[in-house]
Amino acid sequence: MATRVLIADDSEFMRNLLREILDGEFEVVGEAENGVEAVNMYQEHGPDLVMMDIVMPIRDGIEATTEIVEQHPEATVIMCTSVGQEEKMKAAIRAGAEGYITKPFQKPNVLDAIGSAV
Amino acid sequence: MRVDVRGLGACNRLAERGATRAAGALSDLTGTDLAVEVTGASVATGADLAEAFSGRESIGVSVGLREGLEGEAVLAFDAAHADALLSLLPGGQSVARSAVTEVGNIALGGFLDGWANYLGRAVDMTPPRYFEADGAAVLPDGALAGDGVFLFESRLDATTTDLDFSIYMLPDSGPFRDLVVGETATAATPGAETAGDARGGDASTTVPYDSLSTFASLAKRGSANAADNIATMTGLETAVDVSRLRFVPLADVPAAVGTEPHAGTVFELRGGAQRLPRDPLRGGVGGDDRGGDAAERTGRAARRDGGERPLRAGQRDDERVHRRLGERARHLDHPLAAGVRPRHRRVGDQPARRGAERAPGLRVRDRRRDLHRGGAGAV
Repeated sequence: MATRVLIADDSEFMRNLLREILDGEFEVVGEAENGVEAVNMYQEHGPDLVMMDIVMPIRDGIEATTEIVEQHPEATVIMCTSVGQEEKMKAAIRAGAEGYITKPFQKPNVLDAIGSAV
Repeated sequence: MRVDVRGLGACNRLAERGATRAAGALSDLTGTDLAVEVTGASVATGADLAEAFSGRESIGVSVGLREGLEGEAVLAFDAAHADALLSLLPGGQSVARSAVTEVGNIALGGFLDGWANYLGRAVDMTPPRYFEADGAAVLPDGALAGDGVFLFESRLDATTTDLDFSIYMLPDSGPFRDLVVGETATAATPGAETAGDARGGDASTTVPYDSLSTFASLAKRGSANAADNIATMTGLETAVDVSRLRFVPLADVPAAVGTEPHAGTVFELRGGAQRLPRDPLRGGVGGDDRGGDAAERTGRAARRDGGERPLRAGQRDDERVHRRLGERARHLDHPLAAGVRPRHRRVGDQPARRGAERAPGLRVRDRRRDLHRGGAGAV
């Protein structure tokens, strides 16, 4: 059974790109455009993995990750973001993220990160 | 209010490093090599910026900055190149606006990483905002307001296509002002990597902010007079486009001037400098990222030689720049090639006079070119 993935990114372009990378090897169960949608879709679909952007409107990825992990300690979240700041990486790990990849990325980067996390 | 020119130089180096990261991210994203051509800081009024950017149609992506650094940053490119950019992005044509927005998000994220790491604090970015703008409207909010702002600018050029980008950052306040502007401005130690190292400046590295605005006004007024004289002598219609005081590392001056052939007159002014602080503008404001702060580097060399520091600092760097300009001119097979050479006094020709260094050189050029692509301004 394929790993079920939720994509959370406010960029349609990036969601399409991630879906293309994951297609065939993983099952994309949903696409969220902000942190609030990500939390709700996590409740709804219970994915094995969340690919989470940090900079998003309404609620950012770190806040959404905190909420998801608080409610579902078994959740696996990989941050997938344009922000490579050390402080942000630390904040993401503190929030409960399992991994961190910075944009732009290639397919092998994404697959490696997922392989390490799940 | 005083400006610490060494702090400004350190920030300029951060901006250059940030631009290099952004260029790397854009290269990865588009598959096209991009290089940072020029990074500089401008002091300009809103009216001057509006004039300098008039006639351009740009596409921009902006992000607001919070926490560690407050202000706004913008990635912009010529609207005419939008299709070229989208053709490089997989699936970009079908979601054009989203693709361009993400390009800006990734580039600006890379640009800000270095600042955040330097400050030791996270810099929060707001979600990116896509916009299309005419003229100076592409600049960050606030750039056109007030009597003068510091605007950091970097130009990223593709090496194999016409695609190029500009990054503009307008810091509002917070740690940036602590570094560069304040009643008791602190200095950033050349090459310092941590905020803790960036303290300890002295009064000799600060200049009144008003004097920078005054320099810009004088350059503008003097150029207008020169233009009038040329018009009177030749009957040619002339225009003046000196509109910004811009700090560019000396090593970047050739790139700032561009590859178009230029013909010009270069002259040097002496005297009247005693009211200026210790030659802050000659010793490499903005510094040279590839070799540390120019003033400090050449200062060390001068002390070894027992010479007068500021004069040597300027001479050495100016000779290097003139050599590069000459090489460029030769490359262009242009008459300027024969005439470009260092015309400064040789080291040791100038009697040492403490506290009476030369005024920054004023260069008047007939520059009928696009300032947006890297006008050198007055250095």
